Amino acid sequence: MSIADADAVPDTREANSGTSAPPHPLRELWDYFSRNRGAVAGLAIVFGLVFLVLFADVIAPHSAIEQFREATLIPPAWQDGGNSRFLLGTDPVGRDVLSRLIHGSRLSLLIGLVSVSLSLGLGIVLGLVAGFFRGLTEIAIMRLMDIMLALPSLLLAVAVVAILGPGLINAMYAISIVLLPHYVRLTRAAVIGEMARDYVNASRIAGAGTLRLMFNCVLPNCAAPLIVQATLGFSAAILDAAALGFLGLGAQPPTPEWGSMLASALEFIQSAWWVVTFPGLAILISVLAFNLMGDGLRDALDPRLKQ
Amino acid sequence: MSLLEIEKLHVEFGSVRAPFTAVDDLDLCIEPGEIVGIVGESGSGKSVTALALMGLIDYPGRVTAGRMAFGGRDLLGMAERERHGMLGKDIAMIFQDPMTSLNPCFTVAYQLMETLRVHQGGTRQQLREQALKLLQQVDIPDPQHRLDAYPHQLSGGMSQRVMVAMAIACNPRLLIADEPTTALDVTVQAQMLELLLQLQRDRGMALMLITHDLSIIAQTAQRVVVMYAGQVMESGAVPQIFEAPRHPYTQALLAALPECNIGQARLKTIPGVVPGQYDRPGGCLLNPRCSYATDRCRELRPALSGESATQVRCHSPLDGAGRPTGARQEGGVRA
Repeated sequence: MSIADADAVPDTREANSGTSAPPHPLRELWDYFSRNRGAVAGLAIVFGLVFLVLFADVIAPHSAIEQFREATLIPPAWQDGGNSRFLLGTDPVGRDVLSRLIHGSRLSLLIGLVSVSLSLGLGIVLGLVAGFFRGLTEIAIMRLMDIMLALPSLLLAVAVVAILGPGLINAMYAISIVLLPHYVRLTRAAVIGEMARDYVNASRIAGAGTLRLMFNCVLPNCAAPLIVQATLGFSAAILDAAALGFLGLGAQPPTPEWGSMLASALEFIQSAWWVVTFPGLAILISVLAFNLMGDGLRDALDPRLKQ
Repeated sequence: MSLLEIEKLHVEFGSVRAPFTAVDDLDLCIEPGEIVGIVGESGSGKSVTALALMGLIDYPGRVTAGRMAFGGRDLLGMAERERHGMLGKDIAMIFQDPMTSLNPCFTVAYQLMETLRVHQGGTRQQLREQALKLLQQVDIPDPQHRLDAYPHQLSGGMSQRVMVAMAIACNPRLLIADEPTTALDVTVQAQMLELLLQLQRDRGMALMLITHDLSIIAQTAQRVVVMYAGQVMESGAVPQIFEAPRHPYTQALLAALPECNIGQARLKTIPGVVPGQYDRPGGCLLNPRCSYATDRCRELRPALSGESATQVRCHSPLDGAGRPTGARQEGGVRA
């Protein structure tokens, strides 16, 4: 509380001195966002991840799949028997854990991006249709989503992968199907709320067609909750992808995917802790970062939480 | 020829077997340049009439009409596309709540220019200039800056002015104002009415003013239609209807005006509420609340009678002295 109060003081002064122009919306968003320390930390980590993704080839000391046969299961550099060539040690077949983690960040973010975009796009369309046309269309769409929500998400993903066959791409499809109901429900709820407002009628009177009403008039007003859900969905996607990889249904070896790294090192959990710990930490930190960022975004975008 | 002709407009909601009639056989004519007021309590079908006219009643609502014509062109037989083109251009509408009538995501300029572009086209620069002119016409202070404002940065009165600007953007021949002043405070209300009247005079457009405030009608309208539970109860020219209401409902509405209750501890009210879907009475719809109701009122639903200009739906319309004509004394005054 005290932190928020202390931060609020200079803000009010600023508002009083500048009576004429209200701050730019993005600037205002950042003001609210930056009050939440955790969210800023999450954002920083996400930026770091993006940096890793972009420059993985430059940063990673070794290739992700190169096997140093003479150096299997070497502990991290600061431990006895560690080697400064392999900062976080090597795995059972002599691949550098750090390099694999760095390259793995590419896959995790890619999975997050692709599956969130897929489910967001499809979810928005289905949600808009359900919210606009109501009646039987709505019932059909929403009950289907309810059925999907009734199944445990991982089980559903496993079932989808079982149908499509294991692999990274199919794992993405599976995850986007699992995430889909959330977006559909969110969009529909927001659309129904917005449809009751007069500006929708005003646009219709002004001659806007259904598609224009849907995407140009109503959708921008539903964006805030969707942005938040998409950010949070990113972490869910990363987590699900790791789980599928762990079960051997996602990325296939030797792809350096975090979940499959965990799975392949499982038997060494007693003897070589680093092979299991670091991929797990990578998953934990990136998921936490996205969740913190999403939370902060929600606080900043939700007008009800503003003072 | 009338600008707007509506005959036997019927709007129903709910299931087909047990429909709720929101508007019941409504006839309405509006002449070019005329101001027509539509009054009634909440739930009497005023807004639904306007929405039906604009084609904004969606499933599960059902609209039927004997005839609906605007400027001599039949709205019912018209293709959807043609009707869309007419809406917003020839018939415009402003809504009750100014705070939700503007899209919160876009600037005032964008929304004004969008309306202009759809109906007439032009370059960005031309459209922006036109938008600026429109804001000047509705007396918005500092219009240059307001163009780039978002709706949340405007006050209620200002938003309503922007709404008016959007409505008059394409020189409509009929403007429907659905309770344009309800959400505004009293001083802004007066300014808003003044603005609407001035625009109406300058442009010679017809104005359909929907309100439940009779004093607004008294100041502005030439003709008034009193609605109750989806039916027209009485219609007539403005000074007459205020001086000598012929329907008990009109009389009761007038008696409930604060101006008529000066010096009294309590304002007069009409007991009860407008009947909903499940409690529509037999006979005259008003009979449970009418102080003159007789057995005949409870059994037989009265029809509209009189010439087209002055109609009344009552078995025993009031005479000049405010007493029911031909009523036997047994009905008595209940209130």
